[in-house]
Amino acid sequence: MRPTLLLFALALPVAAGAQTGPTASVAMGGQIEAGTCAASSVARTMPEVAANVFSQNASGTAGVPSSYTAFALALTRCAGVVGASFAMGTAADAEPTHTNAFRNKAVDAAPFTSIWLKAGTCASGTTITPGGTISRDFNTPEYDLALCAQYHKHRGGLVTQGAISTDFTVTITYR
Amino acid sequence: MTMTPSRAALACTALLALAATAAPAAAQQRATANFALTGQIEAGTCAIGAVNRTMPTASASDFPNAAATVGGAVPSYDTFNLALTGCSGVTGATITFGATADAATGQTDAFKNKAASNAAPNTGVLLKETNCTTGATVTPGKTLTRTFATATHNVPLCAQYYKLAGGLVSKGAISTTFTLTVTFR
Repeated sequence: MRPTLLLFALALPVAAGAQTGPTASVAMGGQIEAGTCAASSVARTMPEVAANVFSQNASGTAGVPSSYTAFALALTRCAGVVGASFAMGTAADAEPTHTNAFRNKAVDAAPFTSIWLKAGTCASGTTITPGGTISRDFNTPEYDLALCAQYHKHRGGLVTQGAISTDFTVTITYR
Repeated sequence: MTMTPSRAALACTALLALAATAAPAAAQQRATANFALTGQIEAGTCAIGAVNRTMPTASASDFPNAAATVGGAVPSYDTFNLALTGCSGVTGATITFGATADAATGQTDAFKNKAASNAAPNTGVLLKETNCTTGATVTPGKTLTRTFATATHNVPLCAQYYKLAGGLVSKGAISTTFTLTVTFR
């Protein structure tokens, strides 16, 4: 009897050497807020005027052209800004008897005086009321918000000698 | 030829020995069998979880302030790991990050801002290996190859908001999505 030669050849399925695994999704994101500018404080010394340049009518209300003080709220180093809104103080900064004007907060205040602020020029600008907000669009690195202030007489009596000053906070929201 | 008794005895012994060896073969037949088993073992796999990152909020001021300039926003740097876990029988992997169609228009290095609404203009997402400052950029469609033989492998990545050329960045949303395709070895 001859030896029997048995040959077993078991071939398994041949697959690629590498295997692709499951895919995974990637989601990334967030929010970009508006840019900002640098805004510096404004301190202006307005011209001295005589009491007689004010309205001589106790109930009269008027500004004083000789006190016109043009200035700008300067925004610099603006990046990523397409505009801003400016909240000019609050209603509490207003003269109680004349809410369009800023209250004279001087200790030795000249009676019946306040400060009238306008956007643009004092002659033709739009009145900025305390607490009012103005909005401007710009996309430049620097932007000047042109303003003009003037002394103002409100009703109730005549203006006499004294100091006149006001201060308020501008809150700027950028877009 | 005359043989000495001693040599004759030796020769006889040798013959006997041969006979003794040959005798069992003739008496008992043994079957032999060869086994040839061939096949292929596929590479193992790892588990890879979806990545969902909420990146830090940045300001539009953090980007270059010139329309034609490109650049990232440092406050948005977001370092994270792409984690491959449960790896068994894996000696490495190649990972493809999305496709070229995921790239930002005009800036193939960055992923497109796909925010559906209020997308921040002129922005994309830049992805880098390891860290956002010195890492190599992972461009959309790029494949990274990693060799490892451990149960867990992390691919460190860093994403950042990126300004594209063509205008300034302003407020808005930014997001991107793409699919990772992983091939294991």
